[in-house]
Amino acid sequence: MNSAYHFSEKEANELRGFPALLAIFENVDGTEELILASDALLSVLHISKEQEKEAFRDGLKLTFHWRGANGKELVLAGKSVGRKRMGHVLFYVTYVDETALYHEIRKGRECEELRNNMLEKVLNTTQACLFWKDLDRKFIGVNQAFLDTYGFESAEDIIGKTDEDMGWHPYPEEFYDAEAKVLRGETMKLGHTKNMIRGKEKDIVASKAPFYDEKGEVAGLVGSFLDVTVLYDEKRRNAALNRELQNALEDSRHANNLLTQFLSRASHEIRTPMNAIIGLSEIALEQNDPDVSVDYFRKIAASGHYLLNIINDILDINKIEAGNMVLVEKPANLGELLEGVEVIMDPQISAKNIKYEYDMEGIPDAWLICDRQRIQQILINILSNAVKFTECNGRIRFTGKLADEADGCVLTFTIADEGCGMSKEFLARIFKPFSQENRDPAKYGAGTGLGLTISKRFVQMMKGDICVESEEGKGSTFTVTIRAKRCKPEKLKVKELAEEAQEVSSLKGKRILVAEDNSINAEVVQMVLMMNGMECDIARNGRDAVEIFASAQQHTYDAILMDIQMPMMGGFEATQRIRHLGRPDAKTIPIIALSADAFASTQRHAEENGMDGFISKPIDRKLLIKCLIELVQEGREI
Amino acid sequence: MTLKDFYDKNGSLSSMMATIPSEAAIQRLLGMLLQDQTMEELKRAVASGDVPLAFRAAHTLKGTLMNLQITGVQKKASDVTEALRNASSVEDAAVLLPVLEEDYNDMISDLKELVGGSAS
Repeated sequence: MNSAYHFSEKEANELRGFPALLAIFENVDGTEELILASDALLSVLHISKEQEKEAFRDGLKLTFHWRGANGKELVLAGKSVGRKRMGHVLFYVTYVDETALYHEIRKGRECEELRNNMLEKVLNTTQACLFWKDLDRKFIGVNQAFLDTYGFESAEDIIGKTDEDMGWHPYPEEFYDAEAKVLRGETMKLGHTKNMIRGKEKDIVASKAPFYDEKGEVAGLVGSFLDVTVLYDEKRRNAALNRELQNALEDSRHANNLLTQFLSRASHEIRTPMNAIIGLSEIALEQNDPDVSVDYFRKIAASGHYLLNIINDILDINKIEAGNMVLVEKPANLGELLEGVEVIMDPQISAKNIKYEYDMEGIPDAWLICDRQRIQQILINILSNAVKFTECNGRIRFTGKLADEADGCVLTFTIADEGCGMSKEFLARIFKPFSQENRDPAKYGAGTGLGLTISKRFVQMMKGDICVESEEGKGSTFTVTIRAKRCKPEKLKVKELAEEAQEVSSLKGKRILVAEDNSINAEVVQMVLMMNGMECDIARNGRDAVEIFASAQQHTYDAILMDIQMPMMGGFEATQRIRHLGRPDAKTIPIIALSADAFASTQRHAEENGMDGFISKPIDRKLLIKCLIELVQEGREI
Repeated sequence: MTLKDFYDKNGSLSSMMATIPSEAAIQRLLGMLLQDQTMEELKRAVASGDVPLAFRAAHTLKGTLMNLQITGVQKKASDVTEALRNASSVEDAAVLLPVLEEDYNDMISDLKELVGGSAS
């Protein structure tokens, strides 16, 4: 290149007005080159007035990209210094080819970007919830897991807020203190805490650590946590299960102990009367005097009964404990129930001349669906105890109350005695099997020790309870509560059967005259009458019937069964004749028609002819008996 | 043939037992039926045209069969009885009589089998 250059007019015009017309390039080796400003260069050197000033003053730092003709990219960093020379403003540019550096930097930046992307991906893929906060404990960043766990749409929902702003800690102070520590430089190790996430309390394990700025000062904290609620729930469940199993084992051991004790006691209780029976039997065998022997036999029998009671009680308890005891609940009248109790208790009460007060207002008429036998058993058990432990001439009060509840009623019995009472210590165990106070059995009688245990169980099965109050020397009060449902009254079974039996038995021995021509029919009637304890005589026709009746003494016969259709004389005529015999019993004796006709007209006929009843064939035994009962009892209305 | 078989064919054992609850007694009564002459009386009466006599015989037969719960034959006997009640002649009854007789005879042969069986 020439060191001097002459511009043509055209070139000079073109270049006029531009601050940099020419560029003198000072090469690295110090040589200068004057290059006509090209477009590329011009655009690069299109600098402002300010820059021009700077160029003149300090030199202007420039970096320009230049795509060469061959397409090669050049990155030149240079310094352009402005000088006036030859009347022109010239800029000297010293430049350094920084193409390589440029690319290196760019690559570095690309790598960094890649690394940043990778890091972001990792942060947002990990399941651990990550967050970082500044020194004011404001959130400055969170990862995707964090957003997902809390259900945030975007990080903007949390960035810039504090925990207090979010209000999700059940124990905010603890939390605040812990983070303050971290921000002072302590790392908080992995720990379990609770957090409110989306309104539910969750278990989380978290760790936090401070992060530092370039100066080495704490600039904030980084934290991570994991929702471990599922794990902890399982842990808790297992712990609970363990506890349950432990308890069950304890219970089982305890029950086993009780069982062993019970067996021991039971065996002892059985052995005592058993020994008595054997001992007494042996002695009785040695006796010569039968009267003395009889006395021993009585004692043996008593021991036998006692033994049977114990065994029955043990069987009862066993059945109850095994869950096999079932209440037999049927409609029962409470009056009948209490009568049953009275029957048993009367002898005991009279024997000790005890004053017995009794008040069961409203109860005897009540009908409940309940287990009558068991309720009686319970009452007899408690009343017997009361009698046993009350002195002669003492007082026992037995009262009852019936109250209606929402879905049934409550029956409350109170048995109060003024006997020897019970100590506090004994009171605590009276419902346990075989508990008996150490009282003189000769005085108070021997019980099985199981009565109250069984009673309590039964009462509990009836959704009730037994409560006791007692004071030594003063007496005891037992309150029995039972729940049952009311029901409609039924005919008192006992009474019904008793009535029926009574009625039929009233026919016993009565004598009936049967007028029936056919021997088979006569036989049937005779069978039925004799089955019911009656006697009968057979007449083969109406005439014989009249004759037999007339020749018999007064009141020989209590009734006449008269067939209608008979040879010689029919039933209607025979009846008329009998009625006109002129004997008082002929007028009063009930005459019942027997007929194979069931027509209303026949019945009317019978009535008109002086007959009192009508039985049609085939003979209904029950009807016949009923008819006889009615007519023979009442006698005939004249 | 057992008592139950007899009644399964001819009537109702349970109803009979309700009146006379003894199988032995029932069997004895049935035995008496073999000696019973009422059917013969009825036949004779119808043959001779004696309405009142026939009526009584039919009525008695009906009653007996009712008492023994021999329901099938009893119904036929009842039909004959009604045909004779206040009837002017035995004509209607005479028509029904052979049916009754046939059923009665069938029943008697069952009865003979029952009684014969127990006799052996």
